[in-house]
Amino acid sequence: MLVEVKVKPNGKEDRVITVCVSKSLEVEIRAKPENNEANERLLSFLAKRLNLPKENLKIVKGHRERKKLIKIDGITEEAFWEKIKP
Amino acid sequence: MKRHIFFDLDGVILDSMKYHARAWIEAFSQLGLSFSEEEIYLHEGAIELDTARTLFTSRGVIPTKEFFDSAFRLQKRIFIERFAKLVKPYPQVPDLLESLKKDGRKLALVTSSHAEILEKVFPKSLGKFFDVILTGDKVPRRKPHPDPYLTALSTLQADKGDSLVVENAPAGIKSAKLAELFCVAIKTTLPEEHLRLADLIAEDHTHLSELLLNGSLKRWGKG
Repeated sequence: MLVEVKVKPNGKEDRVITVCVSKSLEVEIRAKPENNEANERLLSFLAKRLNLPKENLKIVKGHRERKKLIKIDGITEEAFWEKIKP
Repeated sequence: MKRHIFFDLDGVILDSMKYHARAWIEAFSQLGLSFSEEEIYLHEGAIELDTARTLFTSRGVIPTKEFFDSAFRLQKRIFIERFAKLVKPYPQVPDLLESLKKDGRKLALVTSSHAEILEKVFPKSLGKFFDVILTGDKVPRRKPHPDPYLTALSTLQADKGDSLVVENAPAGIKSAKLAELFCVAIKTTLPEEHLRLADLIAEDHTHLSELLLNGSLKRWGKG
């Protein structure tokens, strides 16, 4: 599946801020947007939350932007939205 | 510059979407359902039982396989009998394809249409430009699944990083991004808001030609 994620780096903690009705997420990440740090932490955070190996998640658009498109394998859309609720 | 370019057919190579949409609208109408052209465009390439379920449930219909199969057969018959002869390539397409081939690019046509429909609408004169032609009946799952583009990649033995997809509809864009490919969406049938998952938006075929032939994609900041 694909999911649009808006990332807020330099946060105090890793957390899902909002789940939008348009089926996208806003996520706060405790990492700087430098040297791929925020991207890696975002993927680790989502993988842990979804109970999936990190290898199942990949950024397929927006590596250097706040708005990212993430491909996630190994989960249905229904299960994703259930597990990702703040 | 990407060396492998994968083109969708309807709404990208051929100005055919309005005819497919009219055939769907008429087929559904004969089965007692009413849809707008935009609703059909939003599901282009994905009007199938599993991927277009919401289209039917929005009208209070829980579609069975038999219902869907009869709608599909009806649409195909209406399209072939009444609309196929009206389909033409977009005017800029032959020159664009010729220029890309002269530039040494490898081209693939990746469509959800069945071979039988392709035979009726695709001009033989354009066939010579494509190294691979993949129809919907040649892959396990059609768009929005990644299978069509993954099959095109392996057939051309192309690297993902050296390949680019041109699409015009959400299902095709989703298929391209699930295959982890760079995707340019062209605004032939839908406004930008429905194409936002693509990496770049081309306003029209003139803009698309400029992007593919002259434009480094990095100029638009997308690598």
